[in-house]
Amino acid sequence: MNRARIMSVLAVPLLLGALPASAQYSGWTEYRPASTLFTLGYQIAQPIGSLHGYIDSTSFRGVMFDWRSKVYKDVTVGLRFSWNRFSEEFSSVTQTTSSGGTLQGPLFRFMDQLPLEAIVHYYIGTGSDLITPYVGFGIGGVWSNSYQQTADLGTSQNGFYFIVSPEVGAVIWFAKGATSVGLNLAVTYHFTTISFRNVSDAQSFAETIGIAFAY
Amino acid sequence: MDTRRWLLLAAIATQGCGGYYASDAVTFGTVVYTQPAPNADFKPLRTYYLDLTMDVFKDGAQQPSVAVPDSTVQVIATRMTAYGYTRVGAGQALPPPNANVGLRLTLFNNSVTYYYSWCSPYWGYYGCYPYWGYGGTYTTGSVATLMVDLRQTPPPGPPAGQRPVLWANALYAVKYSTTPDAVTRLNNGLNTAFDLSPFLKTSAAP
Repeated sequence: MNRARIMSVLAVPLLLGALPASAQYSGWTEYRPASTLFTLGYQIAQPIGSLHGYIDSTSFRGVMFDWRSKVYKDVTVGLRFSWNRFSEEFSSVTQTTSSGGTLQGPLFRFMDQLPLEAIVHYYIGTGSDLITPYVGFGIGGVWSNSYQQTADLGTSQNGFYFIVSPEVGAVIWFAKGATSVGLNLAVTYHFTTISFRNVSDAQSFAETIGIAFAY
Repeated sequence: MDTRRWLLLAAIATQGCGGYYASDAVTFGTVVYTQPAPNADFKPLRTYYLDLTMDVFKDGAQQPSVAVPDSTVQVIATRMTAYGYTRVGAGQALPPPNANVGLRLTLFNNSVTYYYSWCSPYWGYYGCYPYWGYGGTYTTGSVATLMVDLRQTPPPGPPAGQRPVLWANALYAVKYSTTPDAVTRLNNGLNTAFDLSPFLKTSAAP
């Protein structure tokens, strides 16, 4: 008994002395919330308003990339770049020319939209580690190029315009840790001042599916 | 279920990969252009003369003329009658004095892009593609039709000798090949041009 008691007394300071030593190598146990988020995604977009009157087809050609940096607990700011191409081919369209003539024939049209925006996002706490919903807002400039062709007669217009784009979305996390990876889903409304031919203030909805990296 | 999912993904990929260039259906499609001369008044017109030969240009150089296909003559005659015109001088090489207007076709068989800008002798005087008309381009197989005013005899010699043009129409790519349907494309294009040109109606039209 006495021997056992003596061993216990000796073990206590040894164990207590070992605690500071283990703390020196416990970086992996530190709580370090992600402060930077990158998303890369594929976009499908639907033209609305006068742009829909010009090209009513859904755009299946679009990509987006953004960078977000946490400035408050639930708020990030960053930059976003995206590209959408709207295009459509018509078997026969009748148009009038500025000189008073009339043209009728098959027609191909496209419109490229390349915004570069400053973005801010607010992340809605759900208490779940699996999903992070958010709302966001972008504001910036957009370069647009549009083109029309009938037979071998083509014309194009381009310019730099203003854009605002509110957004709702969510990240569904696959893995969380020092670096987290998730599926990013979002719907964005684009309001621009892009105007050409019969289009005024081109607008569209874009749905994003992509990957999010956070660290 | 899996098959459907793959079909959906394939459809999206197909959509995503296309749409960068116009298809051949557009690039080689028939385009019809029509325009009246500014302030032209077709109401008092009554008679027309149709030249049965068609001018031919290749890369800007005039070639020997060819005959207008019979079915094309029929299309023009039918549509002009519907607009209140009476054909005069049928089968004659020159328009009779009572012809109010004359119609002549020109074929562009170019191998390079070429602007519509030409003048040809029009029954003793000159007719030129009008400055107010669209001088578009096409690589080959386009047919232009000009309606010139024959009511007044202009002084001889260009430029004072030019016949005023009342109506211009151009049919792009209607004869871009030598396929048998080229005449059908020409006739369809002319019918479309007349459909798009109700301003041609005279006051004698029913």
